[in-house]
Amino acid sequence: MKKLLTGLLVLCLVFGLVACTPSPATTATSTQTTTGTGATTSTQATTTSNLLANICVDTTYPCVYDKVAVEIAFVPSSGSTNFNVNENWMVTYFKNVTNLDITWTLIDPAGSNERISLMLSSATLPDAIQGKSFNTSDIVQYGLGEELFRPINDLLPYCPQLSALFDQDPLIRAAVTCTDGNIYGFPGLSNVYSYLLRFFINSVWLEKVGLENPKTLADLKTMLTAFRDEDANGNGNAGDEIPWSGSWSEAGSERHLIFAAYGYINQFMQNIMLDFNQSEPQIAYIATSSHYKDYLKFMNGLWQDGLLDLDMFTQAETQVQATVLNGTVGMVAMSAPYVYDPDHQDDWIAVTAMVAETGKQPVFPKANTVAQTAYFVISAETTDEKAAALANFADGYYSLETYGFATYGPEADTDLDYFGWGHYYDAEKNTILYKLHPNANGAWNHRTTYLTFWNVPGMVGNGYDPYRLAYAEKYPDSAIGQQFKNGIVSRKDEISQQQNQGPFYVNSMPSFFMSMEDLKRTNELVTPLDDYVKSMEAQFITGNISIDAEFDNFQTTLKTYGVEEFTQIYTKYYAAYKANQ
Amino acid sequence: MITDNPMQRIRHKTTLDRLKKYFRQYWIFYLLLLPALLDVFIFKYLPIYGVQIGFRDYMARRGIWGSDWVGLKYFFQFVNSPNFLQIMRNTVLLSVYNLLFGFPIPIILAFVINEIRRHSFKKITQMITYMPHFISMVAVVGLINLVLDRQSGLVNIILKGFGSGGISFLSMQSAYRTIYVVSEIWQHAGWGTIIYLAALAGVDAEVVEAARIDGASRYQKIRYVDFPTILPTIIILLILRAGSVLNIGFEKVFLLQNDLNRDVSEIIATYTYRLGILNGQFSYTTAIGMFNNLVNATVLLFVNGLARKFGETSLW
Amino acid sequence: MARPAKTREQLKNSDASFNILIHLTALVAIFVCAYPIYYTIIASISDPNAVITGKVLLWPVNLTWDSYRSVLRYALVWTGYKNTLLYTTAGTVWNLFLLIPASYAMAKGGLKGKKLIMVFFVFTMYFSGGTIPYYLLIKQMNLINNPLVMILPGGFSVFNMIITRTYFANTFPVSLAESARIDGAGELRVFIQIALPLSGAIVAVMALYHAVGHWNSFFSALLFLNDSRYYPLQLVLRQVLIQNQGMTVDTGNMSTDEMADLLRRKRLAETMKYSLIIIANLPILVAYPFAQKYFVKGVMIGSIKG
Repeated sequence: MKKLLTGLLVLCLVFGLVACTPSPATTATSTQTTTGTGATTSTQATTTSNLLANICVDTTYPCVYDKVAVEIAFVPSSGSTNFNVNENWMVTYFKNVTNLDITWTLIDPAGSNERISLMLSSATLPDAIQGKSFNTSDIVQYGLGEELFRPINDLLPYCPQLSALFDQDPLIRAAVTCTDGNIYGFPGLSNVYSYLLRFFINSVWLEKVGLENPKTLADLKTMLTAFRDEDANGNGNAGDEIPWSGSWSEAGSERHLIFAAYGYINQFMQNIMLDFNQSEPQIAYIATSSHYKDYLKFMNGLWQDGLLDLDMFTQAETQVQATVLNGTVGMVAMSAPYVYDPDHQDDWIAVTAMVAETGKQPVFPKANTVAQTAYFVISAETTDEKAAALANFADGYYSLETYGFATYGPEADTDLDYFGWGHYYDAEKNTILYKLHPNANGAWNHRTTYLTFWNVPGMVGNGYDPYRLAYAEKYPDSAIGQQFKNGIVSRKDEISQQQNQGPFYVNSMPSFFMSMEDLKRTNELVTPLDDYVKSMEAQFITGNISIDAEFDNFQTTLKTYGVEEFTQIYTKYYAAYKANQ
Repeated sequence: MITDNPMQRIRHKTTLDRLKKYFRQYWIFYLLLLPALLDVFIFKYLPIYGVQIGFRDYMARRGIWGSDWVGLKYFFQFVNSPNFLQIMRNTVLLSVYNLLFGFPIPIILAFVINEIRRHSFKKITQMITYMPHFISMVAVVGLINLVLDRQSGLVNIILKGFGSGGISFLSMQSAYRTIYVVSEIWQHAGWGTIIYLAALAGVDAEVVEAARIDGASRYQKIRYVDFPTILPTIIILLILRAGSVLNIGFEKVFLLQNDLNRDVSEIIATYTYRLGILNGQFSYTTAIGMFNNLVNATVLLFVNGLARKFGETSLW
Repeated sequence: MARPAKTREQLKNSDASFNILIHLTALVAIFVCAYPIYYTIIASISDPNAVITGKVLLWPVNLTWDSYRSVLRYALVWTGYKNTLLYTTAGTVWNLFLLIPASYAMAKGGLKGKKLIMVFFVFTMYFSGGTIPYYLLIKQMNLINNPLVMILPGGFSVFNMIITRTYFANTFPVSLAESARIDGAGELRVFIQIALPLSGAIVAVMALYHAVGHWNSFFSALLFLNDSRYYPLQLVLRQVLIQNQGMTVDTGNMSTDEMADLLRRKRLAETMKYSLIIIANLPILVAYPFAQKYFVKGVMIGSIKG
C-alpha cells in the first residue's frame, strides 16, 4: 500500500512538474510563430517593392552603405587547427571591405554535426550558418518543414553573381529548388572533372602480364587472375600479389564499378540507381535490380578464386594504403595515386568504363554540378535588411576575385597581404607556395586556418574549372593566373580519368527534394533495408551464404522490408524530374 | 489503556509532539540532503518535460509543447521494424555475456590483490591492472585489430604453430561476442576492483584474528569472512548492472562492426546512431531511447525485488 | 565453524599453495594488462608504416618522436591541461560536497521519507528530458561558453550515491556514535567527527571516480563551449586527431606537396592514436603512485574499527 502511494506521489510530482514548468520552448514558440508569419508576409512585400536602398548591388563589396550588424556561425575546414577569427586573413578582409559588422561564431568542425543539430532542433539560430553542407533532405526538413531557413528567391535581386549563374545554366537552379519552388540556401558548385569511382590499375603490372586496361568484366577477371598467378610485381614471389584490394566498409564503391558495367549508374553511394539498360533510364533498387544476381555471382567468383583481398570486408582505409605501399596491389580504389603511392604515382592508370557483354555501350557516372545544395543559409528569424545584406554577402563568394581569395588567400607582398602569409607562384615547380605561419602544419593547414574558411558557397574546394580559365584570362600576371595559364587539368591521374572515363559520362539523377511525408517514409524504411542488404551482400560474396540456395528467400524478405514502396517513391520523383526537363 | 494515573497521561505524546521531537533530532539529515536534492531538481527534473518528445512529432519551430501528439506511434514503429528482434537480441546477448563473465572477474581479482602480502607487489599489480581503463576506445580497437590480424596477428601466429592460422576473426559472426566481452573484461576488470578493495578495507580485523586462531586457511577466511563483508556491495552493484542491461556503449561495438558481422553487431546504440544521421528522426530516436530505459527500469525493479526477497540488501 | 580444524601442517601447506595461486594470478593479470600498455608506448614512438603493417611487436621500429611533437607544439594543448586540471579539482570537490553528506543521510536508518527520496533520485537514472531541454536550460542559466558549465551542472551522481550509501550503512561505527551521543554530541558532530574520518576509503574511491570522469570528459565542452580558451584537454586532443586523420579532406584543389603532407599526417594519425593516450593520461599515471599513498592511507583508516 505504501509502495503504491509512493509510486503515485512520484507520478504526481513528475507530471506536476511537466505541466507547470514554464517551458522555455513555449515562450520561444510564441515569439517564433508570430515572427515567423511576420517574416513571410514582409518578404512578399519586398518582392514587389523597390530594392532596399542600403544594399550595394553594383559592386561585389561593400555589401551595404550604412553599417549593418550580423551574426554568422561558421564551420571552418577540418584541415584547420585552432581556428582563431583574430588570426584569419579572410575575416579581416571582410571586415575591411564589406562594411558589415560581422560577429563570427566558430563551430568546431569536430563537433559541428552535434552543435548544428542542436541549434536546429532547439530553433536557436544565428542570422546565418556558413560551412555546413545541407543536403536536399535537410532542406525539406528544416527549410520547407520547420521553416527555419529563409527562402532566398526574393533576395536574388541582391545577388547578381548567383543570378547570372542561374541564367547561364538553368539546371543549377532546378537542382537547388525545393518542391515548394523555394531556394533555401546558397549552393557550392563542383568541378566538371570531379571524379567519381576512382579506381586505378598498376600499369607496370599490366605490362608485365601483357594485358590491356580491361573493357569487359571477363577481361577484368582475366587480368586479376594474371596478376595473381604471374608474379606481376616481379619480385620473384608469385604468391604475394593481391589482385584487387580495397576497404569495403569505408569506400564501398566496388559494387558501383561493377554495376556500371551492367549499365547502372549511381552517384551518391546509396542503393537507388538509374538503370540504363532500358530505352529510358529507370529507377532501380540495387538489390532488386535484374542484374543483382549476376553481380553477386561475379563477385563471388572473384572471391573464391582468391582475386579479392581477404581482408576487404574488415580492413580500414589506412591498412589498404599500407598494402599499396608494400607494392603488392594490382587494382584499388584511391583518392589519387600520389596520395597512396607518392613514389610510384606515375605507375597507376585509371580504369576504363567496362561492360558486361561486348557490344553494349559503356556508361560511367558523372559528378553533379551542384556539390553542396546549401552551403550558406539565412535564418528565417532575421530582419529583412539583414537577410538582404547577408544574401549580398554570400553572393560575393561567386565572384571571380573572391573565388581566388577564398581558395588561395591574398597574393604575397600585395597591399591585401595584411599578415604576410600570402601565396606566390613558383615557376620551377609550377605550383603555388605559401609564406607559412610558424604554427602551421603544412600548406593545407596554413590555408584553412590562417587564410580562408574554405567551406563557403561558390567554387572553392571543388575546383570549378571555368573559373580557373577565366581567372587566368583576367589576371594573367597574378600568381594564380600564371599557374592556371598552364592548363586546368595537369595531374596524370586526372588526365587518365578524363581519357578513360570522360567519353562515357552520363548524368545520373540528382538528389531529390521530397515532401515531408515521403521523406519521413523513406527515412523510416532505408536504415533497416540498407543494413539488411549490406549484410547479405557481404555474406553472399564471401560465400558464407549460398547464392543459389538463398537468393529467392532474400528477395522475398526484401519485400517484407518495404523495398517496393521505397522504390516507388523514388520512381515518382524521378518521373517528375524528367517531366520538368 | 486509559488509566487514572496523571503521570502517564502527561507522558502520552501526540503525533505532533512526536514529529517535533523527530525533526529536532533528524533535521540535520535533511540539511545534508539539500544540496543533492536541489542539484537533481534543477538539472534533472526541470528539463524532464522533454520526455514527451518521444510521444510527439517534434518540430523545432513549434517547440515541444506545440508539436503534434502522436502517442505510441514511434514505439510501435520501433517494435514493428523488421530488424527489431535482431537488434534486441544482439543488445541483450552482449550485455548478458558481459555480465556473466565480466561481473565476477573484478571480484576475484580484488580478493587476489587483497591477499598479496608484499606491499610493493600489491602496489604494482594495482597500478598495472588499472591502466587499461585509461586507454581510449580507438586505441583499444587498434590493439584488437593488431592481435587478431589475419596474417600478422599474435593469435594467428600462435595458431600457425599448431598448423592452422590465417583466420579472419573480425569477419566471423561467431567470434564477435567473444571478442567484445574479452576486451571489455581486459579493459575494465582492474578498475572494477577498486570499489571491492575499498569494501574489503571494512573487514573487521577482530573477526579475521578469531578465524585465524580457529585454524581457518586463507581460502576459508576469504569465503567466510571477506566475502560476506562485501556481499552487500556486490549485490548493490549487481542490481545496478542489471538496471543497465540495454546500455551497451556505442563506441567499441561501432568500431568493431563491419558488413560481415553486422547481423550480430547491430545494437540499439549503433542503430540509433545511423538513424540520427538521417534527419527528421528526432522523435523516433527519442522514443527508442525511452523504450531502452523502460526495459532497463523494469529489469531493475525485478532484480531489486528478488534481492529484497532473498537477502537484506536492496535499493529500497 | 563446525568442521574439524586442520592440523598446523595441513594449514601451512594449503596456505603455501594458496599463496602460489595468488601470486600466479596476479602475475598473469599484470602481464595481460602490461603488454598492451607497453605496446602503446612503443607504437607511439615508432614509424607509422611499421605500426600499420603490424611490424611493431616488442621494440619500437624506426624511432621517431613525430607523433608527440606534432601534438605538443600546439599552445592549446597546454591550455587544455590547465583547464582540465581546474575542472577536475573544482568539479570533484563539488561532486563530493553533494555526494558524501547525501549518502550519509540516505544511510541513516529510520529517516522518514527516505524511500520517497530514493525514488526521486533513481527515477532520474531512467527518465531524462534529453539533450534539447537540457541545452535550453543551460542557455537560460547563461552557462553557454562559461567554464562553470564543466563544473556545476549535474554534479550529483545517483549511481555513486547508492554505492556510498551502502558503504556507510555497513561500516557505521555504532558503538562509537552511541557513546558520542551520550556525551551530548549532535548528529552533525557525529557525522563530521566520527563517521567522516572513518570513511576515508569510500571518499577516496568516489574522489577517484569523479576525478577520472572529469579528466576524460569532453562532450559537454563540445556542446556548450565555443571559446577555445576554455577547452578541456580531451577536446583539444580529439580535434588534433581528427584533423590529422583528414577524414573529410577535399583533394580537388591541392598541390602535390599538400597531398604528400596530408598523407604523411594521415599515417602519423595511426601512431598519434597511441601517443595521445600517453599525453592525455601521463599526469594521471604519474600522479597515481603519489595519490595511492593517500588512497592506501584512507583505506587503512577505514579499516580501523572501534
